[in-house]
Amino acid sequence: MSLFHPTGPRVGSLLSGSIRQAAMTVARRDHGTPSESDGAPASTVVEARTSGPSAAPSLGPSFRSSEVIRVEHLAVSYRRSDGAEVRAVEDVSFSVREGEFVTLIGPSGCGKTSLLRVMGGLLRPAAGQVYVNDVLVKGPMPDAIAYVFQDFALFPWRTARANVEIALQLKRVPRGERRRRALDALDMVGLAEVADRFPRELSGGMQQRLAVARALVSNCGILLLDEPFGALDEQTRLVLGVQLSQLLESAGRTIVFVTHSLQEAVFLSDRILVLSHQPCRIKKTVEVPLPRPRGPDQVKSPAGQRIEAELFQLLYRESLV
Amino acid sequence: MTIGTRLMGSRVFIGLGLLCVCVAVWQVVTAVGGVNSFLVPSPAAVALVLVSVLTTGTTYSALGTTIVEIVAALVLAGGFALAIGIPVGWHRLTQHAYEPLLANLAAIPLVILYPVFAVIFGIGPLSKVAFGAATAFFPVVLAVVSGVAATNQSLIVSARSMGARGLTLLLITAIPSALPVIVSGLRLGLTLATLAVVGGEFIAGTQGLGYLLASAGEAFETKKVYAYVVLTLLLAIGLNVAFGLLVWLSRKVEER
Ligand SMILES: Nc1ncnc2c1ncn2[C@@H]1O[C@H](COP(=O)(O)OP(=O)(O)OP(=O)(O)O)[C@@H](O)[C@H]1O
Ligand SMILES: [Mg+2]
Repeated sequence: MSLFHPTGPRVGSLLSGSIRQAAMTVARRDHGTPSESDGAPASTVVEARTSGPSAAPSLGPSFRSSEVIRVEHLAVSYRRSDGAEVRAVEDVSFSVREGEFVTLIGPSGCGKTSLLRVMGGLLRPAAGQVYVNDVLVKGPMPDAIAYVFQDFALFPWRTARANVEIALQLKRVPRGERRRRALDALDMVGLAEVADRFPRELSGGMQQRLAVARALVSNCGILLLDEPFGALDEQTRLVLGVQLSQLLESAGRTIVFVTHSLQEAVFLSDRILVLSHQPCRIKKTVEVPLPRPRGPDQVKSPAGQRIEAELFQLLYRESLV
Repeated sequence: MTIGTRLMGSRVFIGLGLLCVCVAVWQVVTAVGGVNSFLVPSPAAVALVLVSVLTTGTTYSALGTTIVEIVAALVLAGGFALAIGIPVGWHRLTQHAYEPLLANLAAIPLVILYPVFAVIFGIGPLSKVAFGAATAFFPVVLAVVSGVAATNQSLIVSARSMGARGLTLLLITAIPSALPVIVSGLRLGLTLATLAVVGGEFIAGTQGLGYLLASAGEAFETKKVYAYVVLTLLLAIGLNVAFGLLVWLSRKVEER
């Protein structure tokens, strides 16, 4: 439980104000008084998500209609250096509704990154197709999709701010606005103070948050996040996760997320796709019908625990084969 | 910063110290005798000639010619190296096909082709520029190819995901990534261009520092020869410093 009660000073030393605020929001809600919120922006954001009376657990976005991403019979192959062809992904079909948070989970090397890359138009599939907003994906769609890469892919010769600005620069956003929005995005992930530092001067977790800030800054409707919090400690991971879900929900963003943390998956997702190993197929789709906003109560509730246990069983069996 | 400055200071100090020791030994050996003062004049005598040489206009016009030739050669070499090296390094296939070829061509001692340059471009400055450019081209193009080819692939993918394509993609990924390597290639190119230009003037020329050197040699004015050698050395150092300054300045401008 202490995981969800990050004490002020502890989190404060880890992160800057905006995240601390998010952490406090969770802690406050934990005491069961969401309506008492003092109008802090973060809380308002969360309130907005709570659709309908608080008594009935809402499924939120699951009830929204339009499909934003449609993946049909997707297959991905790689040619190994010895010339042999390896199937990484085989016949994967699913769709993601607007505002939905879908998590891909599966053993290492099973093809999660490959799947995400095809969805982002960065890799050509061997078979099948992806539609984004009913348009066939043939290449990158920078106005619709933002991507966080597993290896951060930060430009080492650019400062943190310039790394965030590049996303806007490529969209020809004027300099002043670019600067302001970049600083806002850095502030959101608690990196405002290190805006002028170079990536090599940042810790692994800070680099990862920087990559998240760069994806957030362009206000794309769809975010493809490849283990964005992989290098973070558990507290920061959860605090950032809370904050991320608030940010996304406020903007109604659609998210496909890759993680290895079952707890994180349960905490954040509307739906979890459990993938099998080599070639990657969808083994099972697990719905997460926990009400939002989520706090420790939901994740540690019997329902949340059951989902986590189910995921563990599925993955455990998968790693045995 | 203070550590860096102090290190710099001691580096310069040690370097100059060694130079002073060498000159002192040279002076002592020539003063004690035992070496032919015609073949190896004392540093003091050389310094005197250097001063007198530096008061004549011909030296400066020769120096000017040589500098212009070197700069022109480097600019040409750099231009061609970028124009060829960037596309070659950018595509995996062309890199694998042409990088070994360029590396092998670079091993040819171009000086054996100098007569050909003289025939085509005449005996004047033009042939020196062409010869210098050809000599400097290879280290620069090899640097450009390997620098561009070494661009982190995930940066390219990341830039593509943000909408960069074509020339923009190149300009925000490969070029900045390869820049340090290209700059050191150009520095090497500068040294080689200096060698080639002065050497070219020396072998067959009508003006320039190398020509003065050759003339002094033919007239058996060894002190003058040494004076010009020292001058060439100073020129090389000066060009290198100027190059470093240029790089530093462009970085400052870019940061703003
Ligand atoms: N460029 C490539 N060339 C050849 N094989 C590749 C290439 N990229 C990935 N693969 C193979 O495809 C499979 C899936 O890789 P992918 O990166 O999609 O896995 P992942 O699920 O993201 O793994 P992780 O959880 O470790 O990040 C792996 O077996 C990998 O070896
Ligand atoms: Mg991966």
